[in-house]
Amino acid sequence: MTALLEIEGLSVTLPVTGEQRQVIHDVSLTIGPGQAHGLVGESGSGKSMTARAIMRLLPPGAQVQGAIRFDGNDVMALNRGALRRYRGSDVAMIFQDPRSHTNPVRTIGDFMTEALCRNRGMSKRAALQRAVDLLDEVFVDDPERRLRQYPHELSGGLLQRVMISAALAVEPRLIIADEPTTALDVTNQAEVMAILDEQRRERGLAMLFITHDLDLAAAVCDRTSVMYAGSVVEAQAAERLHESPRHPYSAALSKARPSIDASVERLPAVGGRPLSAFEAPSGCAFADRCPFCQQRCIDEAPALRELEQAMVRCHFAEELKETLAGDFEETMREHA
Amino acid sequence: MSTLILSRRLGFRKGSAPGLGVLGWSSAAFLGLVALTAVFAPLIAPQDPLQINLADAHFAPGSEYLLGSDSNGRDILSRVIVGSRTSLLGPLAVVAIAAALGSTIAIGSAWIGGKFDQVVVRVVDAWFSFPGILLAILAVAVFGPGLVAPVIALAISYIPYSARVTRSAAIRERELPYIEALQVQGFSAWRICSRHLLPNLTPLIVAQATVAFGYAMVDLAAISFLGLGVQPPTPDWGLMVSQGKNGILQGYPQEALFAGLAIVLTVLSFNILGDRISRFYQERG
Repeated sequence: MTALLEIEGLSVTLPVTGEQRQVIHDVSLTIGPGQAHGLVGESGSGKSMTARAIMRLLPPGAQVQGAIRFDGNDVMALNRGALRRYRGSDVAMIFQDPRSHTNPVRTIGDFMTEALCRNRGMSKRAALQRAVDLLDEVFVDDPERRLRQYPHELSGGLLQRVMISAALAVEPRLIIADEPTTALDVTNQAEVMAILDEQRRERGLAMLFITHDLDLAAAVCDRTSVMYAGSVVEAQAAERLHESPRHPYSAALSKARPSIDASVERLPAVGGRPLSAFEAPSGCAFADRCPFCQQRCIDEAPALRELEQAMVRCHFAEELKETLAGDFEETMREHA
Repeated sequence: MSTLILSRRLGFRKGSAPGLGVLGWSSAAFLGLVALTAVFAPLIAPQDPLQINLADAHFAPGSEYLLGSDSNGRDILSRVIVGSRTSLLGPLAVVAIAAALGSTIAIGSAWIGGKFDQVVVRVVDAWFSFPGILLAILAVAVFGPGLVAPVIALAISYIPYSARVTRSAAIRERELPYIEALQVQGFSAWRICSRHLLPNLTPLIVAQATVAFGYAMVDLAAISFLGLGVQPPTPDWGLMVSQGKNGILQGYPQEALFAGLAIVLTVLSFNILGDRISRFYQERG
């Protein structure tokens, strides 16, 4: 299988008050055509920055190492015209907060047809018709009326559905969804997610799905990468990640989620606070929060390595295999 | 479409109080009246503003000449009415040129950012320090008196005002997420600036231009007063103040008085309106 999107050893530093600070460290991932890849992690773990790097939307002064290839082409080397074509028709992005990502003084119709007219050379009339059809497909009532409305007249869930159909309108090959349901209220989340998932599968689009919800990623993605402090600490098939996590961090994240099957007095929490990539010590970034930390973890940074169809960044992944699959809530509590 | 949105932003909405306040709206109404007067001046003026009638010189306001007559026996009311044309057209041209070039510089600078932006800011600051009237007098000296030379010179000296105000707003606007979303959709910088950034900054540019209009009017009146602008016998408010100044000492203040009053009321209205629009814009964020 040839990869659609291939990220290899991506590292990004940003200038903060005069010095370059690491925000992404050695991230690699591959998405095949039609494949959905989840990117999971806490706030500040570098998920969104990775997405921005793929779109080449990094802030000025950012220094990038490593390679991002789309369909074999180096994204970082695209010239201005090629970059516009790449952004306009190869990759579409769905943002967390649809309201702030739309021009408030333009109608939904303007918003949806601008890309079609501009990047696809469609006439205004044809573009409007296409917008109506697309809105119909994502179950928006009375699409003609919606096209005449302004973003502030639509609810968050409705607006996010409009964003999804606008992203689909240009027929991209890859969709980057950056926490598309986080800003919505709970009743809308499931619906919007279902629509996104269904449309993606129908069209055979590849997707990079960014979320901090492990279960949601497992439900819609083929493969999941877990990020911590700017690095990928674990990557494996989405359903296996839930059953048999290989890294103490992803295992702890799973344990820290309330489950509908089990009743617990108090959920175990991961002690300490999430680190930014630039704060990461020379050893393992997770060392001081890890319930299984040993001297080697503090001294030596682990590399991402393969272990039974999974990629994991932990010195003791083999030894911890059994423990992480079982109950270790007590250990977590004691450590916290 | 954009006027609709502008009028919405200014508060023409059902159920909400008008955003400009009573004073703002009355200024707007007065300026509308002045503009209509300027457009239909030849139809409204009761007499020929150029008709000299020396026997009727220095008539006091009365039934024959509503606002009196000047030293040449011309009807002051007709001259004020027809004079509104050059008096409004001049500042309008100044403000239009200054706002167009100023916001182009501002948006370009805000978009490109970085060192380019820093250089533009310094250049604009230096530009500020050059007095507009001086530049206008220089232009008249080179190109001869009339309306065109001072208008262009004043427009150039008004650019930094427009550029500075618009730039700070453009920088704020540029950081909003929707701009990023447009970039992700693959639109060119030119398109994003001209079709999204500029329209969204329009209320501010309009507010700024409204205030500047008043200043430009005073500056052009001053240039006319100095005899470097509009030339006699063409009626112009600034010129009328200049020609009527001798009459004040002789006990015939009507020409300078009514032309001056026209300037004061118009400029005052522009200042109030501009102030209200910009305050409204700030309140709305």
